[in-house]
Amino acid sequence: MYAVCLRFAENAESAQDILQNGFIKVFSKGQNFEGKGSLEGWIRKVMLNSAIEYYRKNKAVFQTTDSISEDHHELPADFDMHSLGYKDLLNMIKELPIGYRTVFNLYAIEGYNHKEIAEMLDMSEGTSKSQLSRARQWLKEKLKKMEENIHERSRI
Amino acid sequence: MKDQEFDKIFKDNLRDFEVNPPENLWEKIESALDQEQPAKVKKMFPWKTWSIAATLLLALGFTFKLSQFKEEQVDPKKEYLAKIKEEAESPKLDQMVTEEMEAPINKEEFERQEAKPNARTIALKEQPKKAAVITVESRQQVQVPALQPMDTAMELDGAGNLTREAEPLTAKSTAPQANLAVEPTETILNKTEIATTKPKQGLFVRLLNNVADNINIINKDVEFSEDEEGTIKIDLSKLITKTK
Repeated sequence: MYAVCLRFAENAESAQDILQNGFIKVFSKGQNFEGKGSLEGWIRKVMLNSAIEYYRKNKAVFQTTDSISEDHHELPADFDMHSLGYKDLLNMIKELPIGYRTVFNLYAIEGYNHKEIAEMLDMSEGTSKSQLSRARQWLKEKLKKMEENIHERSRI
Repeated sequence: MKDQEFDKIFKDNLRDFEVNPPENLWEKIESALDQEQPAKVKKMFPWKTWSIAATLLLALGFTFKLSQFKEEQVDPKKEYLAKIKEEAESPKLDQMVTEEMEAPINKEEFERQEAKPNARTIALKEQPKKAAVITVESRQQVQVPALQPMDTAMELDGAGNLTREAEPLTAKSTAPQANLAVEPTETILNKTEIATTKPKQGLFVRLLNNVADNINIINKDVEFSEDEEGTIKIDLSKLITKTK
């Protein structure tokens, strides 16, 4: 569960806050668990709710970082993303602005659709879609830069 | 690269990977939980105690007020009722004492000795007492005591000296048996027996029962229902234990 929280937070401290709040809910509202589905699934949902709460608290603070270049980034065809470890990917996600990060997490990793995400985050489906595509753009841009750095280093 | 592929790489890498949180986090969560629960308890605790205290006070106040009100209403009868109560309860007391048995009988004898001219009235008065005593004694000896009170009464009319010697003997002989049975149900039974055997006592008991019933009705209004024919004291103690 800590890994889930890490994806939604920009640093370990925030992730721990999310985890803590989530577990407090798990323990104090454990009786609400009706036995439908797995306990782990329920706890995961509680964690996601905790993460969404964190998003609501912090979206205003991080809105200024919402700017992104409008150019269309496309990764080179030979780019080998599979060589990336989870740590690289996690670090990239952490650096995403909170809005993109939350939507990307819920859509790409947790598997929710735009309608569900729109309800969860009190936004329109359109916003959810645009945030997701921007998140992808942002991530691709980062990957490109990473690759360029690697290339530069290898040249030297 | 398609978006779905791109997402999939993240999903495959990140969805199921696990990281152990720092160990001090669990302590943090524990302490946070400890802080949460006492806060709730603190909020609840005084509220509950105060409500309980308030209900207790209200109940007690109501019962006392109502009983006072009742007593004031029945004021002309009050003394009369008190007399009845004394007379009705005296056999009870005697029964309690008859566990030691010899003292009350000696007392009775003493009374009789001092008040010879009024021997008849004393005998009449003491008849209920005797009846009660003997009925307790006679749990096991069924028919004999029923005759005994009559005998003693008759004998007292004529010659006090003879009966004085005779009575303690019977009383002593039955004394050990009395020790076996002094239970609340039996005392009630004794009361009813007295009521059936003596019409005078029956009236008193009935009056007492009526008063008790009236009090019971008021108690029902305060939602403390009882259907025992106890005295006012017993009612109050029961109420107190109930409210507790």
